[in-house]
Amino acid sequence: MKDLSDIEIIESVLKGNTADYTVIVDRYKNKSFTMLKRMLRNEFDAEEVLMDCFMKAYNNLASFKFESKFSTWFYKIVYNTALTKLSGIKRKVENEMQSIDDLDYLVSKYSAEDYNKKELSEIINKIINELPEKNAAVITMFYLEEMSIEEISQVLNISVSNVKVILHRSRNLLKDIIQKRNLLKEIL
Amino acid sequence: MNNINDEMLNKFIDKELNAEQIRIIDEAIKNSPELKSRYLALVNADSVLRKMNFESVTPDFTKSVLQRIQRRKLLAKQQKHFLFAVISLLGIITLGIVVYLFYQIISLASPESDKIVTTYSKDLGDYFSNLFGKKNISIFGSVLSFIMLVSSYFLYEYQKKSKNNFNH
Repeated sequence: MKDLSDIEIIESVLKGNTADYTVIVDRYKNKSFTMLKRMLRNEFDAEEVLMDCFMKAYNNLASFKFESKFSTWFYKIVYNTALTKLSGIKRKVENEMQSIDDLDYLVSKYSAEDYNKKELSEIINKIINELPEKNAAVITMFYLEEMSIEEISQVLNISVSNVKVILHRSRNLLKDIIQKRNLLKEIL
Repeated sequence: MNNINDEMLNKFIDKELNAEQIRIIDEAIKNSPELKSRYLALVNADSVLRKMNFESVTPDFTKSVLQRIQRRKLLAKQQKHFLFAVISLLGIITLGIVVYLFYQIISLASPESDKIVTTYSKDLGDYFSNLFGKKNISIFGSVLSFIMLVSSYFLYEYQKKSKNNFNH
């Protein structure tokens, strides 16, 4: 069963084999949890929202049109549910104030001396966790889920060029920190 | 070489440039230590991001999802049965009212038709007559209203849930 494609598993679930849905859950749970945790910045909320996402996906499986990839459809549910949750806890307003152009505060924060002794991977994780939700979602989908720019643009409902801008700015942010902290020698 | 900005370097890393642009940037990187440093920092940012690890959900997460699905299926089945019971009851009541009215009309139209109506149907008519008589009609009215209210509530909830599912 684990070798089957998403589409084959969905067809089986639609035929009434509910237990097969666990294969889909196992396949996507950690990837989407990572994205949700970075967007919501809270482990408990992330798991709760993820549970809702799997339930929503299951309840709407019949309406899934086999034209797009299941992953694109599912991440759309994940992203929109995360946004709903964020707006519910009033954090969205706070995050929206940090537009994609406004990542400089992170550069200055993580270029400071206080962080000198920390490991690069630790710093990177901290930075990613502090990125605005859209940037965190793009970074996770691109690097962890290995989704294409086109797929990400469908999930976020934004243009391909906007996805590229978000991706490049997030990467530039890390580049600036690496340069300012002279971490290049450390990495090389 | 300073005109090569981060945007171009990003495109260079993502292999989005044509052969001529790649050649120009390659050459510029070789000739400019500042550009090389920027490029290496960007390459490293990219490789660090590629090495990111997944976060893991709690071990019994999949089991919880399956349990929730099964609970939901059971609830949906129960709701279906409840709706069927309510609709059946309403059907029986409506049928009773129709039979009663039919009996009343026949009785009033031709008193001699009593002879045609068999004893069995007469008894049935009397039974419904008593059931929907002045004494019981208010009780029936209340029960009917209550059933209709409960059914409306469940139908409203069902519609709301369907709408929510549709929106997501």
